[in-house]
Amino acid sequence: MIEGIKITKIFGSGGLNPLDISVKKGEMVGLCGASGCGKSTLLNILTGMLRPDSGKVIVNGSDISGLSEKKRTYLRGNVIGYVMQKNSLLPELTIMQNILFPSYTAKKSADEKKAQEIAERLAIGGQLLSYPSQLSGGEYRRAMLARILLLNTPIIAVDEPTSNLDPESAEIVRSMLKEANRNGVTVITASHDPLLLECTDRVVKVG
Amino acid sequence: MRTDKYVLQVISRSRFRSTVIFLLFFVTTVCLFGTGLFTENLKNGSQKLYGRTYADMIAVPEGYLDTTKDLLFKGKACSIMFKDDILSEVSGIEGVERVTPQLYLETLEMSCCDDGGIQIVAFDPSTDFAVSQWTDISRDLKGCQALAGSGGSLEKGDKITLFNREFTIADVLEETGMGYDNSIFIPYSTADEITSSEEYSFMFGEKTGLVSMLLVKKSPDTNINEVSRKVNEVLKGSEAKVYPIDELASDLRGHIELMADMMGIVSAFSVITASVALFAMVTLTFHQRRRIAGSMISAGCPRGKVLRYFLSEYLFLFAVGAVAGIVLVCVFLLPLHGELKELLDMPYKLVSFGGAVSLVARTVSVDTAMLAVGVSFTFFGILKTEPAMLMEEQV
Repeated sequence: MIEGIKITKIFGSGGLNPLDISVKKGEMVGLCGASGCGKSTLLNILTGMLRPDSGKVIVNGSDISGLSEKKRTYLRGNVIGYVMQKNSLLPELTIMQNILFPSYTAKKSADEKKAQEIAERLAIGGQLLSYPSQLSGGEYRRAMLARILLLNTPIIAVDEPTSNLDPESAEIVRSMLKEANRNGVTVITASHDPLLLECTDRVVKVG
Repeated sequence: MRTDKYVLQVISRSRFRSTVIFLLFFVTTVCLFGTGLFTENLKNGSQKLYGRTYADMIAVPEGYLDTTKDLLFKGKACSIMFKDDILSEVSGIEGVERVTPQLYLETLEMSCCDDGGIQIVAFDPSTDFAVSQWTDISRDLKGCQALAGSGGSLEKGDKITLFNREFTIADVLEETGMGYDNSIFIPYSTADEITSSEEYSFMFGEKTGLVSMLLVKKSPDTNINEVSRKVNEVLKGSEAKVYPIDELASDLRGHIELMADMMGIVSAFSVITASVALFAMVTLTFHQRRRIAGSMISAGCPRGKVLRYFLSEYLFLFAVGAVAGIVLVCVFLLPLHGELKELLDMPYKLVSFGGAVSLVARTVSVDTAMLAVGVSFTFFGILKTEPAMLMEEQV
């Protein structure tokens, strides 16, 4: 379903060495490795957020590394849901609006009821009218995950979803990702969290 | 998410940034439109100098040249008098098409008020070509009728007492942009009765045939310098001399042009300052904008839509700032129009609606150019950068 062939990306003195990765449909794959080894870069390349210096990224049989920006954007809104490591909620929108935002841009109907349901399950149901700056770190990351879960894409890429979370919050995130995977969603996650990596079908070492 | 909803929410949540951007557009618009309108009003007043008299030349007593300029262009009330025996001589000169006398009388008397000198302008309805451009009634003005300038409170049908005579206001003239707006026009024959009356002998010495100036219109296709030379040859020996109207107005035009230039410098300075400030503001918020753009793009929002969100926010603030600036200038300049005119001591007349619209268009164009320069930096930065780099994702 998603395949990286001899992907390289150079950043200053570091970067991503030629790497092959293949993730089958419905699989949950963990990416591990030391900090700075290129896990986030790999996820960025696999989700079309970054073009590789060389190599190919095949999603559903098509090479996305050569696609136009417009097509790659479509891909992110409809095929691959991506939760970045950095805070990426829009500061001027409420949590509910942030969760619904990808649905708006993907021209999908904004299902507020479902958004509420996902938020409740991620234990942020009481924060839907708050703004991102009013959330704790754990709540913030769960709101980012809620945004992608609502989008209901066949592939989810999540970068460090449990980092800096309290054990309870981390457990909620792990269970939600596992549940999505059980429902047929392909999940790729970069993480240092051994409990999360244990939930995956297999782990790929980067670097 | 609808662009307008997003924009309004962003503006209400980022109050400081929005206020600064609004103020930059507001201040620039006030400076540009305010100085522009003021300058245009001055130029408009200046352009009316010729139209106001509709004469090519004016014959006045040589010793009263400055007084005549004050009277003619600044509307200062005064009395200038000399005998009109040169009228027939001037009208017979080759190249002179029409000549009409005007007599300026200053009176402190008015039955309705006592707050200073009123300029009475006596004109000859049978030969007049100046007052008639403002009202058709002037040609049939009767001895007991008067015309009022636009600046006073008089209305058609009102009665006033001048030099112990009652006059009915037959019409109110359109605005001329000068002291004429505060003048009252009466027939020359009535003025002649006043100057020759025993009652006002202390002012006019019971004289008839007094004039203050002769308005001279040259024949078409004749050279004004040549005609004025001929007229001055005829007037040699008399106390009067003829001056082309442009020559009389040259000092004033110089002042107006100087003031217009100064206003232009103020405008240019304000535009440059505001542009630099806007550019600085955009640059300071560039990092934040990049991250937001990256967030949106990572969530599947096309770059075009991201830019539309940003541009709409700037355009909204730009529109509100520009409209507020224009409204403020209008609220300030329009009610104080009369006071400004008196304070300036030079021709000042509101531009036409079309002129004002053109000025608004010019102001908005400069504001738009400023906006384009300001946002192009942000937009270019967002367009050329990979989505992941906008978020400054780590390797």
